[in-house]
Amino acid sequence: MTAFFQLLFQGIALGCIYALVALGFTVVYRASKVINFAQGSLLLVGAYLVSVLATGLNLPFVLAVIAAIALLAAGCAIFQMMVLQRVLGQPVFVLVMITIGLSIVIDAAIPAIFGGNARILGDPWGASAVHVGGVTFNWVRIWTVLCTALILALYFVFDRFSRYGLAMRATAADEEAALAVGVPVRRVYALTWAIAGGVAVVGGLFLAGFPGSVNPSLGNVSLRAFPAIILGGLDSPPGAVVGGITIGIVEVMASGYAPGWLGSDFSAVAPYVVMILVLLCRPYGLFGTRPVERV
Amino acid sequence: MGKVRMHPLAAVCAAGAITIGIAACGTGSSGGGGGGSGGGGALKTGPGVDAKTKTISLGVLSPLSGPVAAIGKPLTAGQETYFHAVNAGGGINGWKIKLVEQDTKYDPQTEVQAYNRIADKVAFMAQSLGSPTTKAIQPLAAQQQMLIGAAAQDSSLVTDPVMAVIGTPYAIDNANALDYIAKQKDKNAKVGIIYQNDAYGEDGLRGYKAGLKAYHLRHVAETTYKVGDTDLTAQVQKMRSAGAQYVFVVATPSVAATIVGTGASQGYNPTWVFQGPAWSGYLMTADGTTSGKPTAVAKALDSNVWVLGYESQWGDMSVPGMAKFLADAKKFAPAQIPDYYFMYGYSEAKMETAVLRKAIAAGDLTRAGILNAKLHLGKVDLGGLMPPVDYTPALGPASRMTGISQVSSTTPGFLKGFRAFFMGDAAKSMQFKAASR
Repeated sequence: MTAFFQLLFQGIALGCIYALVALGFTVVYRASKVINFAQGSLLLVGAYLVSVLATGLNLPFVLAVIAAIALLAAGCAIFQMMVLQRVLGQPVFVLVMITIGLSIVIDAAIPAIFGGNARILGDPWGASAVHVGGVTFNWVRIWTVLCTALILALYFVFDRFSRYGLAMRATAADEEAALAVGVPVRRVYALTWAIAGGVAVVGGLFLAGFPGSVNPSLGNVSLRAFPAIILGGLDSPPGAVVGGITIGIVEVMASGYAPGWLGSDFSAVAPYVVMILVLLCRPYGLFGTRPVERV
Repeated sequence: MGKVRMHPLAAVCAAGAITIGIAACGTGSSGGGGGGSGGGGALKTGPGVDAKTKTISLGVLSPLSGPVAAIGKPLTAGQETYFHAVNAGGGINGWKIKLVEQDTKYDPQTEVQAYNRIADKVAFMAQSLGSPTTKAIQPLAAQQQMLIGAAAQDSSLVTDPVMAVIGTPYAIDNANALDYIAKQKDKNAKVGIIYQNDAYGEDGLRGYKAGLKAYHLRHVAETTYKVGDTDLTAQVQKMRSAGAQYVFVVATPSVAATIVGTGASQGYNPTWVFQGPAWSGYLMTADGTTSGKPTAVAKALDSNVWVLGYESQWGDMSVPGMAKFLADAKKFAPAQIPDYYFMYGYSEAKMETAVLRKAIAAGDLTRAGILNAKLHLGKVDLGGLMPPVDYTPALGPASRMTGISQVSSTTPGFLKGFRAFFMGDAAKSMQFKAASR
C-alpha cells in the first residue's frame, strides 16, 4: 500500500506540471485558436532563466523566480506583438507554423548558449524530504503541488473577476463581437501570451527540480502533456487542470502496475489510451465547448 | 540574461578547426592523386597524404556543437593533444599529422555530408563519434576502404574491418561487473537492471544476461524506461520491492541521476552499477570539477555508485603512460579539466599513430595499405590509460577488459578506481556477430 501512495503522490506532482503546461496551451488557444507548439520550449527557457538568475547572478531564489516570470512573460508578450500580430488575419495555420518555428529556434539556441551539460537549478529544496508512514514526500514536489494550486487559483480569480479576465472570455466567445464592443483584442492576445510565459517558468522550474536537472531536453514534456489538453478540452482551463493531473497519475500508475504482456513501456501509451476513451464519449474533451452550428 | 558561456576549449577547437581545415585543403589537392607513388622513394601514397611536405591529413567527424558536444569537444581535444605531441616530437618517421575537423552535431545526415566533404582530402577518419552517426557512414567507408576511428562502443561495429574501435563494448562491461560481484562480493547477490528501451539498452542487457548465465546470480527484477520519461519512481520501486542489492543502470546521465536520486530520497540505497555512458562529472557539480557547486543528487551519487569503464583513473601515477599524458595535456590543452573523453581521444590517437607507423614501415600509405596495417596491427599498448588493443583479421572487440570505479566527491574527475582492468569468464566467450543491415 505504501508503494501505491508513493506512486499516487508522484503522479499528482507530475500531473501538476502537466496541468501548468496544459494551462499555457489552453489560455492561448481559447483566445486566438492558435495551438502554441512552443509551449514546451518556453518551459525550457523558464528553467534556464531561473537557473541563470539564481546560480549565475546569485539572486535569492524567490526573487530569481519572480524576475524570471516577469522576464519571460514580457518576452512572450513582445514576441506576440512584434511577430504574431503582423500576421493576424492570415489563416490560423500560419500562426501555428510560426510557433513551431519559435520552438525550433529555442531548442537550438539553448544548447548553443549553455552547452549540453545539465545546470544546477539553485532551488532551496534540493533532495530534502519528509517521510510519512513510509511514503516519501520530497519538498520540491510538495511545493510543486502547492504552487500549482496557487497559480491555478490566481488564474481563475483573474479570469472571473478582473476586467481583462472578462475581456479574455469575451474574445474567446466571439472575437468580432468583442472588437465591436470595444474590447482591446490585440492587448488580450498579448496578455494570453504573457500568461503562457509566466506559467511556463513555474512549470519549468518544478520540472527541473530534484531529482531532475536543468538540461536541454526539458522541453520534450509538452508532448507528454498533449493528451492532457485534448482530454480536458482544448479551450478549457479547468479541463487543463483535471486533464493534467489525470494524465500524470495514469502515467505513473501504469509504469508501476502495467502487466508485462502490455509491453515494456505501456506507461507512455496509457495516457493516449485514456485520451481516446474519453474522446469516444465526449468528442470535445471533458470540459470542452461544443460548437453551436446552424444546420 | 547571463553572458554567453563558452567553454575555453570551445574557442580553441573552433579556431583550430578553421586553420587546420584550410591547411588541409591545400594538401588534399596536391596529394590526393590516389594510389600514385609519392616523392619519398618507394612509398606509395593515397588521398590525404602529401609526400612533398610529409604531411598526413586525418578527418575528424565529431559533434562540436549541440547536446553531445559535451563528449565531442573533450574527445577531439584529446586527439589534438596527442597529435600535437607527436608533431612536436618530430612526427612519425618525419611525417606530420594534420586534422581536418567537421562538426556533425551528432546527426547522421550531417555526418554523411561532412564525410563526403572531406573524404578525398584525408588518409582516414581519426574520429567518428557515436553509433547512429558512424553506422550512417559505414557503407561509404566500406566502399572506399576508409579506415574509421570509431568512438562508439556499440558491439556491432567491432566486426567491421574498416572500423578501428578502442576500449571494450558496453555489453562486456556488464558481464565483467557481474563476474566481480559473484567472485569478490556475494555469489548469492540479488541483481536487477534498468535499461533504456532502445538498441543502446538492449546491447547492455545482452551483456547482463550473458553474465547472469555464467554466474548464476539471483536476477530479481528487470525494467525499462523510455527517453523523455521524467518520473522514474515506479522503476525504482520495482527494484526496491524485489530487494535488488546491485542495480545495473543502462541509461543517459540525467536519467541515471534521477534513478539514484529517487532511490536515495526513498531510503533505497543499493549499489548502482552504471554502464559507462550513464556517467558524467557534471552530475556531481555545476562545472564538473571537485571545487564546483554540488548538485542536488551529488550526495546520493557519492560512494553508492560504481562506474564501469575501460579507462584508468585520472592522475593515477602507477599507470605507466599517465605522466606523459598529464604532461602533454598541460602543454597542449592547459585549460582541460579532468575528463575521461579527453583521455579516450588521446588513447585513440595513440592507436592511430601505431597504425600509421606500421603503414609507413610497410611503405604503403594508400587507403588499402592503411587498412591492411590496421588489420595486422596486433597488440598495441596504450600506456595503461586504456586496455591494450589487439587487432587481427579475425576482428572482434579490441579489448574484453573492464575496470570498476566508485564515485567519490573528493577525487579529481570524481571516479576512484578500485578494480583494475580484468576479464571475466563470461566476457571471454561472448560472441560478436556482424549486425544484419
